[in-house]
Amino acid sequence: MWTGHNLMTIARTSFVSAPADRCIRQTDVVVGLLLCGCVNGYMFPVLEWLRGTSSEGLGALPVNLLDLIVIVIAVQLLRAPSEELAARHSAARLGWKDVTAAALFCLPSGAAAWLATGGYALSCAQRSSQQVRLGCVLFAGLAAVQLWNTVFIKWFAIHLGLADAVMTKTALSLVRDGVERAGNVVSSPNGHAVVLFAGCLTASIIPRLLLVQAAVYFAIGLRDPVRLAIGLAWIAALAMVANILRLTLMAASADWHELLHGAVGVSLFELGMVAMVLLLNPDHREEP
Amino acid sequence: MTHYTFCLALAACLVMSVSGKALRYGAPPIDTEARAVAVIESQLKHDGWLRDLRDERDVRHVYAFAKPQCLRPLLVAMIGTGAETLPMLNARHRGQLQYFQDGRAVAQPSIWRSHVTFAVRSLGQLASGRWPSAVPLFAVSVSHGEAPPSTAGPGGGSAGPCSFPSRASWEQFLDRRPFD
Repeated sequence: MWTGHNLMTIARTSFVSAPADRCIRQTDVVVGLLLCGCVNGYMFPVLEWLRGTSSEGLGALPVNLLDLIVIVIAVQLLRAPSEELAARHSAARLGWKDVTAAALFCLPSGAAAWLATGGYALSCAQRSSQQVRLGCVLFAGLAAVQLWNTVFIKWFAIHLGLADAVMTKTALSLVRDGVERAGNVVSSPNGHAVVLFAGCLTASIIPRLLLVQAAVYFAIGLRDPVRLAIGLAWIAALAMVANILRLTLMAASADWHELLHGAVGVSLFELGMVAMVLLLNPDHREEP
Repeated sequence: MTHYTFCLALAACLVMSVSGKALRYGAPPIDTEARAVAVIESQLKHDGWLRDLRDERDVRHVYAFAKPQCLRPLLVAMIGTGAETLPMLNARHRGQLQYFQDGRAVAQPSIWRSHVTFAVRSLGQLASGRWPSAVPLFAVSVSHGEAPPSTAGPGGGSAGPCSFPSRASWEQFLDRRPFD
């Protein structure tokens, strides 16, 4: 009788018994499924981009530059395991976790795709070690950042917006009199009233930068957790200062607002963030 | 498993998953706010309030309605799920707004309730493939130059021509599910 179990057994044995040079490694299966999850997660911004309704400059790209860096590094970490790991991961077979992740990707929801990607990456990280684990953790972090920036930050946007508005008002008050704050709006005489929405909050920038900082740190071969923690603290502090400075300039005048909120300003801010991460991580490896 | 088998399986998964999302997100966006404002506009028209675009300059999500005999326009503020405009509205129109959430007049809307409602609607869409209609979260100004809020009040429903349309009449209007 052709039961599901029988079919699965036949499929598994036939796949495993294929010639070694045609066999796929387990890490390749993981990379394929994680990339499939990312493609699904980015479907909404991609369609918005195709429709031409997204913002301008580098900010208009459906995939953030920092996200791309994380994905490239994570794939490199997953695809280049040590010899020992490569041997251990040579016999690829689809388990229930792989099939469940693929099924969840088929749900018509970007958030569900990120949730599935994160869960799958964490489950893979649990059963792996060394570089493969780091690659999986980066994918899980990317999924978490996406879920935070697209879904959960909105739940706290009012309070986070108030915090940014208070800091922006304080910074602008250093150079100008009569600065006012009404809720999450900062305005001043001869200035521009800036309303702080979820997309421009410091809390939406920091998690992405922390992730890319960790990715670059792993990519250049560093593994010391204390140095990583110091690097993360630095990047968080610098991102906060940079964003408050940006918001302060935008509130200072309509011209600054137009420049920084437009294509040039958004692109410069994105590139500035990338440069900040790269400058904080000089290319040197730890002594063996 | 061979490369060939895996690539085939992955391609099938990609085609199925991406086409599902393309069907959902690729559909022309429905401007729910514009539709809701049109419904509210038709209701206010019965009381003589007509849309006044001059008072809407530089202010997004806030719509103005005027009456010749009233000093100030009646403002309708459409508040999104995130309610990020709420602190600004509270600060600029302190005590001058009546909020409506899920079809009921409330003193101050609950943001968490708004998010939970949105999440439930999203799950409903996932299950049914159709976006369930809902009453938007919005606010209406209560003072328009003739009846101060202390006497007319949000629920007062005074008969003056510039008074706030009574809370009960708004709730009755919303009970008819005009946004469906």
